[in-house]
Amino acid sequence: MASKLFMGDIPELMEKILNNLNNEINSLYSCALVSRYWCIIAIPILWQDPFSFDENNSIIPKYISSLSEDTLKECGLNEKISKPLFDYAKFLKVLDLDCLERMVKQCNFIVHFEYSEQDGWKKYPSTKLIVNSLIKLLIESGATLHKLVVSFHGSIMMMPEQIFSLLGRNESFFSRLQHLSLGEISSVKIESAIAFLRALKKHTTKISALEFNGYEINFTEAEYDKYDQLQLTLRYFIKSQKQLRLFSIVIEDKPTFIKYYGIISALESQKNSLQEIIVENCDYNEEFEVLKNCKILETLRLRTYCDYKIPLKMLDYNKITKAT
Amino acid sequence: VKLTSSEGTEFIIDRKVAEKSVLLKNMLEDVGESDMAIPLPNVTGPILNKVIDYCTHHRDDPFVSQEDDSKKVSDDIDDWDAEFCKVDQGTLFELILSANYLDIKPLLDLTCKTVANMIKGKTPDEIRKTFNITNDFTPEEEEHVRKENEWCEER
Repeated sequence: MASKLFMGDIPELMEKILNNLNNEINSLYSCALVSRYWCIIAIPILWQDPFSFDENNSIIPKYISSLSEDTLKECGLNEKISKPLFDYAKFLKVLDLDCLERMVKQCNFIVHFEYSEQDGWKKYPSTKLIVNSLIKLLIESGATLHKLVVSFHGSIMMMPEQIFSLLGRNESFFSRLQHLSLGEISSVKIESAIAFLRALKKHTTKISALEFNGYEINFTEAEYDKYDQLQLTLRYFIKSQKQLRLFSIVIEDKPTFIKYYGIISALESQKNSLQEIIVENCDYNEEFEVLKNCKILETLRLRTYCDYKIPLKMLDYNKITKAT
Repeated sequence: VKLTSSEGTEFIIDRKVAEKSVLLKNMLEDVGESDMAIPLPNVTGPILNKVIDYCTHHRDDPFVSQEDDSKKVSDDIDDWDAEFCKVDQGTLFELILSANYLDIKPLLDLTCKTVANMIKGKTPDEIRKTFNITNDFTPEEEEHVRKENEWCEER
């Protein structure tokens, strides 16, 4: 006879066993097909981070099938959709908003056009409405995010700051967020990024990993205030968190090194928790001196334009075990 | 510290070894110094023996907090631990249940990882055979689950 571990007596132990397979999609998929009980335990783990693994956008229709009939109509989706076995939305822990929008755009919906006096001819189904409805579905189904990847590049349609107006009483959506990855902020989306960061800090203080991919630096003097505001918002955001362990600024595709005034010095507020700092393609300046105060720093990776002796000096201050 | 297994066998161990178990640590803190044996009705003698082996070997390891659930890959098991887990399935499952009951997080993590490694890379049928599990899906249900998770096959 099978052990009681596998028969449904102690689901938390079964869950603990299968959680070790959270990066082994094929093995988890096998588990989901073993028996009804195994399926109930494996499915929530399988659907924690499906966006990282689904290459053919086939998860989007599964989420869409959980939308109400009224919402489907509103989005312009007339296809006949059968209800799914599980409420997959509530299992999501890792959300990449950019990826969600891209996947919805790539879905093969039957396109039609509708005319209204107000808007003229409009194409349906509407990507924007579907993306918003899916985010609403995730929130209302009780999903609690652990990682959020959000971009503010010029071509993204959605406004991430609008998510907060969909939250309602579902505070748990962001309350356990541990990892925030900010994609590059384009000059046309600065206000959106500022509004998003301001709202997010009211909903979570538990972020332990913050990744930042910089922002567009080609701005005019007239736009200077906006950039100043963004810098300030980022600084306040860093300070609002209680236990930042990893901070990284990795600027890609930039020919020159960039200065990020004030952001590095804001890390002073996290000196008791920071374990890893990664800074690539930023100008080294006196601000970096604050890193000397980080008491438990284990890894410091700098790729900056500076005298190599400066970071080496910093090693004397910290008991850093790994410097690359 | 004196412990008694479910059959009444008595074991005498160092307090430091006993304190690897959060359950025993809390009990000892509440009771203080005492000659009374602590009864463990859920743990058999042979399993308790194994648990004591584990706690003795790891007696000087730093305490791992419950919250520290950073994603660990399931193959980072050291040689001693791997050797320790080379037991029959029945013993391994009993170890999981005892580690859970005694609240010994590193032993629970290790034994769960070992079972996860036994699952890794297997087909549903191979998993059923390995752990003697009956497939209670109807063919329609199984097909439905397969269909809704077909994105896993595309990889």
